[in-house]
Amino acid sequence: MRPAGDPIGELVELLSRLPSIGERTATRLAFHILKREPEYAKALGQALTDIHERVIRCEDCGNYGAEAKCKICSDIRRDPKIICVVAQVPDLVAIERSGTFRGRYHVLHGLLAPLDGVGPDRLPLDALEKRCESDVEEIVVATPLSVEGEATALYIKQVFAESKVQVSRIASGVPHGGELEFTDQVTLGRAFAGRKQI
Amino acid sequence: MVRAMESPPPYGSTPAATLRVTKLRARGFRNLRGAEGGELFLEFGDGFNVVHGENGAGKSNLLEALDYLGTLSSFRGAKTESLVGIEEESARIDGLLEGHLAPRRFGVQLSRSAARKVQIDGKRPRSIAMWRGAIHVVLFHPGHLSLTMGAPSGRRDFLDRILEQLDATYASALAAYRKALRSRNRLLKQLEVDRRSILAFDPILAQSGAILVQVRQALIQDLAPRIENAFGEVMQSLPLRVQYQPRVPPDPEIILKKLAESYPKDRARGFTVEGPHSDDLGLQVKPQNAFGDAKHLASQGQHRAMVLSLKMAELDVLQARSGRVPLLLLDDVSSELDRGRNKRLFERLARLGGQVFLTTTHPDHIVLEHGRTDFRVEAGVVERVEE
Repeated sequence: MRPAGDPIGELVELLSRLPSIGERTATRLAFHILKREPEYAKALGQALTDIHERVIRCEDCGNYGAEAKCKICSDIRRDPKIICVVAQVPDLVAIERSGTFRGRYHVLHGLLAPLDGVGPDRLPLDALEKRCESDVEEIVVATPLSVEGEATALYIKQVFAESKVQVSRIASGVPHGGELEFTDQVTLGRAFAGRKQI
Repeated sequence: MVRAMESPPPYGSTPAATLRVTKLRARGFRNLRGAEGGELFLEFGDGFNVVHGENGAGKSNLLEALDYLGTLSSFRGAKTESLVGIEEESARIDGLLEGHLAPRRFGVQLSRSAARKVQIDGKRPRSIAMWRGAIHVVLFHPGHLSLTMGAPSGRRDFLDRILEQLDATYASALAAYRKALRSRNRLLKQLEVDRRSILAFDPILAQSGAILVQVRQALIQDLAPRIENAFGEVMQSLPLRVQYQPRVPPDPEIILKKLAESYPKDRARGFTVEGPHSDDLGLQVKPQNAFGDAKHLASQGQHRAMVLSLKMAELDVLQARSGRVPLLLLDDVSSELDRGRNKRLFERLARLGGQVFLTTTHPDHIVLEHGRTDFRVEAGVVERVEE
């Protein structure tokens, strides 16, 4: 016999631990799940149960996928000569959505952050070096423009200082369709510093 | 490098608008409460608001609440846990700010268990910098006497506090610089370290550090003559010289080189030596024939006048650069000066025409004839005294 407990309360508590879900939304979701057909709850539960077993990190790039090599790494149409370094998988997803980048990725799952005790040895940089022993020509560092993101980019630059691989950094500035007057001063400053001749 | 700050208009070019907090609501903030418990609601006067009460009654808490509205930090360095009243779960401060276009409502919600919420007219502001740019506050409290007598860090904080309010680029450069510096120092302290990870922070320090030096330089150009003038008005016989003493020039290349050169030294000491975090604002007085360090040559009373001069100059520069007269908060200032100097100080403040909040243990210490509104504080309850 299972203890009676408070099944709705427990579900609400667990749901409200998710980012951007407060207690009110969690309560709404819990009652919504309860109201729908039990098959939905079962499928949702199963998906949640499986997620850690079914999703694995790609052995090459660290992206999430269902197989040892992720979809991007096993896609032969992708350009193997250029690798884009990102901090997290959602960054990769954002770049993929734009459809502009046709190379492959390398996901760090973190950034150089001495204050949080993350040194370079905690990042998969040996693996990146190994990948670059083949025909890689360029690494594009697309880490965030924070102190840690910049430091990580500057670290990677040094790692490949002696190699034939070019290291570049994504540009920063005013977003497309963005109005100059509403752009913050730091971004505008960067946009001017990185201006181009036309 | 693109500078975001406009150059200061000349003295008295356009009449500056005066920032005024006309209404304040506070609930759960330190010991502040209304007469029947619960929420405190106050309407302030446009000129001098004189807050009096016994020590420990909560005078400074009221000033702290007003200062928090302006800077979003506590001048006592207190964390949220200590700002929220002892038996409260959360605290809220709302201020109605007039003087710049239409009145605006500034609200802060502090909670023990959740993140701070800030709102302008019920909406989340786009950035903290926008908030800081909207309310300018100049604060003086007794701890500030270490400003001229103490270590350079106090004088750097003085400069940073002004610039954070005026210049969003500076504020973000300062945040980046501090984080990069702490990161680099953490690495320097490690027994074994990959030199490349230290070098990864050097360009960030050089870039943001050069901005800090450049902006501080420009500020002190404005500030120095104003400090010297204000001091001369009170201490006519003692010449004062104010100078920026930067540790490095405002050039990223040179800062980068200096960081590289001092690496062995940094490694041995476990911290970074070169950079604007070692800057100072030099204060020199000339009691006889030559200028010398004010720290050793000025008397206690002269130091008080010097600190007040720094604060007056701060107010002046904020006004000149923003076109708005900031709020002035004076915590227990009258006890710092004798009756004659007090009178001169308040005359000068009255000329500026801004809204002033000051605390005192005795209301008759404040030598003011007109334009004052009095408040009495007792055990956290603040009440307006009607004549």
